[in-house]
Amino acid sequence: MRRGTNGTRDDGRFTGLTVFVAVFGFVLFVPPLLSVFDQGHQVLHVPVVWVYLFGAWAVVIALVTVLVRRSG
Amino acid sequence: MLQTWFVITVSIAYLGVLFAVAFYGDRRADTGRSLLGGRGTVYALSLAVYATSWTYYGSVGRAATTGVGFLPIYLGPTIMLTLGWLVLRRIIRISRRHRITSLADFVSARYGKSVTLGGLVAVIAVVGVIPYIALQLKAVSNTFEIIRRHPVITPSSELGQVPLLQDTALYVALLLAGFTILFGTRHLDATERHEGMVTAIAFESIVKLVAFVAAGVGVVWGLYNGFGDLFARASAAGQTAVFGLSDTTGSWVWLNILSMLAIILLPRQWQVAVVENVEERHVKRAMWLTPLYMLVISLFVVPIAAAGLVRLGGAVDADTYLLTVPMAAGQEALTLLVFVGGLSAATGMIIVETVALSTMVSNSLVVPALLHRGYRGNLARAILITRRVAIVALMLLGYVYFRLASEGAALASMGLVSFAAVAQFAPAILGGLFWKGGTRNGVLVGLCGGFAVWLYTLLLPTFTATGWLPQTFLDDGPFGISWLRPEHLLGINGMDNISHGMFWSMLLNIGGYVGVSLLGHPKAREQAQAVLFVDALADPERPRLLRGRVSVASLHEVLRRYMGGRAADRAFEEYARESALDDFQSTKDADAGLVHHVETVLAGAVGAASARIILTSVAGEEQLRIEEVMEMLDEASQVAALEERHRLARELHDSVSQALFSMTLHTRAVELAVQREGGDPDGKVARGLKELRSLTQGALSEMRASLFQLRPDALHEDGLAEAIRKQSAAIASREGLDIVVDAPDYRLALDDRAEEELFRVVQEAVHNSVKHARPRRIDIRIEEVSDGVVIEVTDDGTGFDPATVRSAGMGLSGMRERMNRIGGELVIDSVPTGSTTIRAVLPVPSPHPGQPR
Repeated sequence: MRRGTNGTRDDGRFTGLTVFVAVFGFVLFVPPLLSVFDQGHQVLHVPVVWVYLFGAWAVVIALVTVLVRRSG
Repeated sequence: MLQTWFVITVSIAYLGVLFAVAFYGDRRADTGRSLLGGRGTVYALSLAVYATSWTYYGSVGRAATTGVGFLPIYLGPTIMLTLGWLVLRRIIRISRRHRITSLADFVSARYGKSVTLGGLVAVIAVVGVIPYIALQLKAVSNTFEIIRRHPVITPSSELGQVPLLQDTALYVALLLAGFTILFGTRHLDATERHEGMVTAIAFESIVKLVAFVAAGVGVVWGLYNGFGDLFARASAAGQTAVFGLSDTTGSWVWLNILSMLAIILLPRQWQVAVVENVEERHVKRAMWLTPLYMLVISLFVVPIAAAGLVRLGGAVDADTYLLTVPMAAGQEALTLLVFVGGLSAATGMIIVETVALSTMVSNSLVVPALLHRGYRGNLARAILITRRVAIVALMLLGYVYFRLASEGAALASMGLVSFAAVAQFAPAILGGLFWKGGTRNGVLVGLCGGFAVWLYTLLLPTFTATGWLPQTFLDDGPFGISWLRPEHLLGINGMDNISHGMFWSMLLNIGGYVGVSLLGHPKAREQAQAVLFVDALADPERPRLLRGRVSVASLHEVLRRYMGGRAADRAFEEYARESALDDFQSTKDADAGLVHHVETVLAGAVGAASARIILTSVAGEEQLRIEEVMEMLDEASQVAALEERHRLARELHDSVSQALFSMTLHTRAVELAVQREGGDPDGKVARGLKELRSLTQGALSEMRASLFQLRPDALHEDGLAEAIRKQSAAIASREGLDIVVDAPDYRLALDDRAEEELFRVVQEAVHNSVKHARPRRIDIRIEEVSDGVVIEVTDDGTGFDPATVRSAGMGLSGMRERMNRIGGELVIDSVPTGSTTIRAVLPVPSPHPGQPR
């Protein structure tokens, strides 16, 4: 029980932040935001929606990595 | 290089390496130098068993028609793993604490250790996943046939049925059965971990990743000059389908949600993520490493699909582009590597899935049935045999399904249909993690409804493709009833089959779960389990679930009988280390801790529900009384609050209480001094001092009563009479009336429950009197008579007619109930014009004197 209030507070914060990132990621991954990039455009012949999805995905993973690193 | 004998040799060599890796993993674990320690890289890689041959080959096929439409299968898991610390860690903590070894067991344990629920979940899992296993075998068989007919590139639709004895899938299935039995059921262990198997799975994850990335690099930079060039050629060739979402946005959200659930609810995922988890903190690594793995493995899906469309077009099944594109380009080594990667994706899935399913079949179906028939033999051996038989049976069932259904496109869609089947567990499991109100009946109704809809809207339609059902069944509905068309229930149009099926099944599932739960009342045991699960992270003290009414020796005997002598000794030694237990053959009653320990150890081997059955068979049916449940609720959810209150009570007692006490003494001293010095006893000063003293005394008794309220245990520390005195003093000073307590000086020989109930009755009686009778004086008389204890509460206020008053309104029925519970009775003597006497009579000697707490 007595793991020190600090430990549990940090843990709660970590959980909260990861939930935030998950919601953020979900919003990025689904329409309507997704449809903005799904217009069939290409940049340097590469489809925009493809770049967008992998980019957003990489951002979510990077955020989680940072949070995990910081939580120790 | 791609001669048949060479491919076979490589495949066998690969499986040989797999055996070696698993063997090495087990060896390291046995010698205490586990490979699964560290920071969790092996754990994160083993979670990638999610990427099966369906995703390995199939995502390219999907990308060929829907572009990035295949991505939700990987994006969903990323979201769920990001939530890993909230959801997965919680499940792991609970499973560890209760030694839960399968998904079915988890559901069963959460809802009051229900045998029915465990069995139902096991059945749904088996029905939902067998076709998925068949799909893996099909991938192995097809890719082998394609590679065998090299250099001709055969569309898989023309492969036809391979003769049984020439079918690689059969041999792969048999080899895998051997592997799974060897490394998945080596011994029966309370933790159910298989380190060798997990190591092999992690190894397979690396193989399939390397193979896929190699194929991607080979295509993008070997056949083209990078992504730009490849996409430019594709768009020049008019293959723009791969560039967008096409029209999949409708099902996009559903697919995300489905795969989000699948990453933990598929039996194999549950096995590696929960059961095989060694340390909770490994989840943190999996939260980013597993999604990263998925990102890398899906990076080349669209490029390969585009290359396939440009080079091979519709002549070849898009599901095999990953293999046929390098093959058509003459890159033989790469083709072989891709084949091995596909083999590893399929075998990894099959191995873990059959282990997980065999645990469910043995623990949630077979063992409860055995126990129901009064089986008393060595359960450990029976379980191992059951699991081995189950593994072979599941493998063959998968194979038979593949042989029967491989014609047509029936299998290709099975991946998502399986996802939808296991998604049915989501309300019960996720709801059960965060909501205490869910009940067994709610889950039963929800699961049955959801599963039935799944069968009708998702599984049945695949039967038309195999010819088991006529096509008119789909198009016109059964008996021509159009609103019953399986893929258009109530005539709904414009939804694809997965979205449609998920909508209806979730509507029934969640609706049934929540609705029935809210309408019904959970049983005491369900409530207790709900608290233990939902508040798992609050680290409650070990709960007392079964009251010890069984001797130490018979507990030992139970363990010996079901798990063997050595396991029994080990379990008892484990417990003895933390407690005063020394004699394993003692005929004394086992304490609740030992009973609980034995139950948990049994649960690890046979499942929670069966463990409960076994224990109640020796300890007798437990009687969870409502107050015990309340006690558990307290323990589980209020330990922290209690501790805080105790601390507060101590501090208040040491500081404020003491100060008030000395204030009364000092005031009295000053009063006396004033009198001595000839002050006017009725003068202003003297009256002021008197007032001050009575105020201070009032504050002191109020304080004592509050302290008493803060520490419920005080009743048992102080004894009934003393507790009533303190309480009365506080009420008297608060309400400004006299309460006289007449009680013996010695402590009455009452057990805890009687003390508790009598105290509450007196409290209620005094409270009633103050509230309704407006008395000036209340007499409380506690008397020990020859045949029991009598407590009388008499007031001098206005009474009532016991015959006419609505007893509920005055809490009289509650008091009666309390007395009945401890075998006493309540007599009310009151007249509307005068005093009221409430008499509580408890015949003693009390049946359980002085129960130690």
